[in-house]
Amino acid sequence: MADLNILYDSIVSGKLEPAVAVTLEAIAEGINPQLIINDYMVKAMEEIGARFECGKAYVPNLLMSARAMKGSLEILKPLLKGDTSSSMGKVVIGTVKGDLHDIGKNIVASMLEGCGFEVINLGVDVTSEKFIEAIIEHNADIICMSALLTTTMTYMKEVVEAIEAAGLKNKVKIMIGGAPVSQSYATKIGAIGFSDNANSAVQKAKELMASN
Amino acid sequence: MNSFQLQLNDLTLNRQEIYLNLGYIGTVPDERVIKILDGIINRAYEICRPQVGYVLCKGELPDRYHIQLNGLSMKIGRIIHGYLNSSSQFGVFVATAGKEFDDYLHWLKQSGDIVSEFIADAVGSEIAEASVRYVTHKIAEDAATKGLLITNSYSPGYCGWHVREQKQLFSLFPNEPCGIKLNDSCLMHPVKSVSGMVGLGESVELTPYSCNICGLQTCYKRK
Repeated sequence: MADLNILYDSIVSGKLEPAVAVTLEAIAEGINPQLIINDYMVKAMEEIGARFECGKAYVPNLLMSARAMKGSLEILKPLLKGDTSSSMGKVVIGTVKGDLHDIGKNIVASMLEGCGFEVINLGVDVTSEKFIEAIIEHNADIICMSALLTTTMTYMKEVVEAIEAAGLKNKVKIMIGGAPVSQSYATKIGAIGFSDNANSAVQKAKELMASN
Repeated sequence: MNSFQLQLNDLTLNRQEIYLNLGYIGTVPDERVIKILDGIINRAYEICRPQVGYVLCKGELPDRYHIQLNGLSMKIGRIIHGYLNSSSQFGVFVATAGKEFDDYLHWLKQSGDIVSEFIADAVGSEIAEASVRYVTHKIAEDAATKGLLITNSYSPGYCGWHVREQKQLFSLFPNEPCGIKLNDSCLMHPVKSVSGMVGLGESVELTPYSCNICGLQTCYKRK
């Protein structure tokens, strides 16, 4: 019989292979996929997130957990087809025009994917036009913008204005992140969410989806 | 320009700095992370071709914010100005981990292995910093032949020296020095590259570097 506590432990400790093995076993036994996700996988990600927040886990640990979670989710997703809860939401993410820094943004993207979001990663040096196109094409729920420099973070405001001009402001939630930005800057430019690390970015994205 | 094509063996990597880049402050990564890190460092030794280059310039510090090098004015800000104002010459440098390492980072990104990508990014940052140590050592050797000492190094983007001034700094070099290009936002490509300056003088000195002199509170390198 599949021991779902092993699945939980594997995700917390970031071990992909045992996480996948137990997931396959559980499916074969006909265990409800939504129960596997909600009662074990999501809880495991919450645990590693809590450890990260109190300094007992580090970014590589978070990423390994997200990788294990994603591996199991990929197996379960086909079984959730048609179920509205199969995706936490759609996120378009990118580093704004002029900025080439992408590792922080990629970490956030991986964590969001690991936690069940569908992520469209536009890469670096992304113009407002590309953000708008992606929001429309993918019917995104959230847009995440990243910048590492004070000189490039100002472009975030241009993207927000372009979203307003395109009539999408009430449709898509705007989140920003990166070393030089803050909640006050987010508020100032009209973004709803701000996060200073990948774990809190996921929490904020979940909050925004829940407020829909 | 004095330029040097290097192997990674020519540089001294500081593992503690890599740990800090990965977010380990006062502790070390676990065995699994160390194993991935070792694999990436070994690969870097195979592929990485860092390059560094520098020019020595006569210069003046006409007011509390600016420096003039070869007739070119750059606003370096008050903080750096204060640390350079006893200098009679200036060593302007570029240093890069190189295109090969950049390609490796890109390949890791394409593979979707975010854990390795993150760790390799931290290694790349340290290779760039080790390249800076190498080039400033070369400048110090050059300075010593003139009976001069060098200051700490300072870079655009830090301590009040705006990153857009990087265009001015690059104009002191031949086109694309060490293969480094600037984009419209004055960011360097390959991404693991550093530019900067040291002062040369009879009475200048290297001091323990402190983040306290820089107002960039949100800097990702802040310790």
